[in-house]
Amino acid sequence: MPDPVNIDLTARVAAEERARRADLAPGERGIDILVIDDQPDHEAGWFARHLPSHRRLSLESVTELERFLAGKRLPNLPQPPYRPELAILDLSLGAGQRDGLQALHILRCGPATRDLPAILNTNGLEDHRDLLAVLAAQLNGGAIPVARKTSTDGPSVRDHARRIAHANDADLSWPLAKAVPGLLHVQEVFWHGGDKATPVSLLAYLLDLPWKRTYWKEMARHRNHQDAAFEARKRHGTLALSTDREIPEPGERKTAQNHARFVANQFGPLAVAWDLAGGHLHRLGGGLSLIAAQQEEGFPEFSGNRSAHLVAFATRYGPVLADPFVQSLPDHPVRPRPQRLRP
Amino acid sequence: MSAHVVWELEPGPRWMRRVRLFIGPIAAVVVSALLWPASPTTPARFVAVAGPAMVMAGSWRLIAQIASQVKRFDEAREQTTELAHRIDSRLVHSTLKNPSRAIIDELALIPDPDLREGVRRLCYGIGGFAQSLALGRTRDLRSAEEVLQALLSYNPDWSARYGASVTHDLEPEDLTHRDAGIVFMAVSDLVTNAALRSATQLEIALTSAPTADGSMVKLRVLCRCGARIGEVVPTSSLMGLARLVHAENGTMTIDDAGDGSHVFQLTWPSSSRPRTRAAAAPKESINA
Repeated sequence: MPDPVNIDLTARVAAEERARRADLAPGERGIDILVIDDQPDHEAGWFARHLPSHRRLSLESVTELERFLAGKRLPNLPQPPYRPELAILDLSLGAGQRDGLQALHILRCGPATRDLPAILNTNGLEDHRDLLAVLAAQLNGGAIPVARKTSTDGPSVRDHARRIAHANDADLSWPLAKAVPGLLHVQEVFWHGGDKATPVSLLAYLLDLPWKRTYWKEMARHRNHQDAAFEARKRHGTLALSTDREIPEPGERKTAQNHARFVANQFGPLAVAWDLAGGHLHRLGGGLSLIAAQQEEGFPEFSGNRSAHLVAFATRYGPVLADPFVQSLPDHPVRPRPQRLRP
Repeated sequence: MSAHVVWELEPGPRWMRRVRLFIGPIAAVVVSALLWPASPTTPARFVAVAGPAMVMAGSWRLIAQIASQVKRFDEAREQTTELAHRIDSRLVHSTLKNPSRAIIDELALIPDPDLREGVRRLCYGIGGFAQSLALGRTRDLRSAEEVLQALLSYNPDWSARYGASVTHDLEPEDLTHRDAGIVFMAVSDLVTNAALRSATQLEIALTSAPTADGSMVKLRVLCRCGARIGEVVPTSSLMGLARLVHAENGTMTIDDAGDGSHVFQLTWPSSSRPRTRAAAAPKESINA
């Protein structure tokens, strides 16, 4: 009988890894990349294919991220020390788990990681995910690159990692709001309309008053605009009207008889603007979309039916806006420090 | 009465459910104690005793009725959920599983090996999804047994021809997403390769040993195919698995006994401490 043989594949993989790192072009270096993803990266995986020369610090959940930032040892990580220079956050981290947005929030709140460049990683921005991306942009200081797990976005992320390494080598801060060539650039959208003298962020506009938060919660629960508007008015009085007067004016009294229309009017042409945007704000670049929609005379079909559009908007985005984490964001805005040269 | 309904629907602490049985008797005793001194005649005393007794009996009857109704609602809900799962499962079976079965039979026509493996895994994932729906699970495939069953749902003859079995397994609920992902990829890859080599014996053991900061999970696959392990080339799926566990600070070895059997062993650290599964799950099939 032939002799038994033991083959240690781990040693071969380690040798491969060393060879890859040694094979970097002159002036290049591998960096530590914090990857928060609930799935391991397999052979044909996105990270192994596009970022092979970098070290992957793999975290499975937001809880693991918190443990990592607290300095606790995670058994699946390679040997310390760790110096992450880029974070890649999967948007969805499993059903019932805290998602990539909350991971980003934690990074932005931590003194050591608040300036860490981040990329939102996802397979696509469909349905309400585009609003989540807008929220992510706000958390990231106004903009965030979004990379899909595709062969087209992979090289862009690789180039991005290279540029970050160069900036760090030159002791320069990487501007978080900087667009990454080849990747979706999700920007925070500003609201220029209504009674606001200065532009406010869309998220702040949607959640700035208690009655609005109640409205989204009720829409998420019952998906009924009439009931949600009624509950919002019942719990918060006359909303924005008559806050400084005991007795409402007759005109206001008449308006108040129709809760649904009243709430729709309070939101203004927001839903119309969103419809015109096709629900894809990341393609519009900033706040121009909302100004254009508000002043546009060429869309009469949208002008007379604010309630219908608000219902469509709220049905689609109510569950996101009703999320306790999202509702708490305007109360605790995260803003990175102004970009400056490191001392 | 509303309190009884609320307690039945949202039971709360166990002591509260016990205490409510005594609310009626206590109320009856209190009422009797109040009425008795003011009831000098026999009819009045009869009222003073019978009235509270009726209150007491009524409260117990009310509790029993509410509990019975809630139980019936629960049963109806479970039946409806099961029906919905069955309908969803049939829908997945007809729209996804059957086409994926056709694809998996023609995998050899896909020239690119990475794409071929990706399509194979996708098909197995669809099989697992259909199985999860049929069994009413609300999570992905986790344990070795669940992954093996998904594979066997495409290849039911493997079990008989190759004796594929799981000898040790871990509780699926205890495994993390990362552990489950590794188990899925390793089991689906090793079992498929073993079957393609016409293995006569295939045993899978998934175990764990506690460590200071979690546990060390070990997946051991015994394959008896009569051949020796040849040179493991860098593009092989075995090297792919080795890279997978290495990225999670794990190891992979192959022990070739020289008698036509070999053991693939993958170990990796886990942040959880999964419990050992008491017995292998019954082989449930959804090939209807």
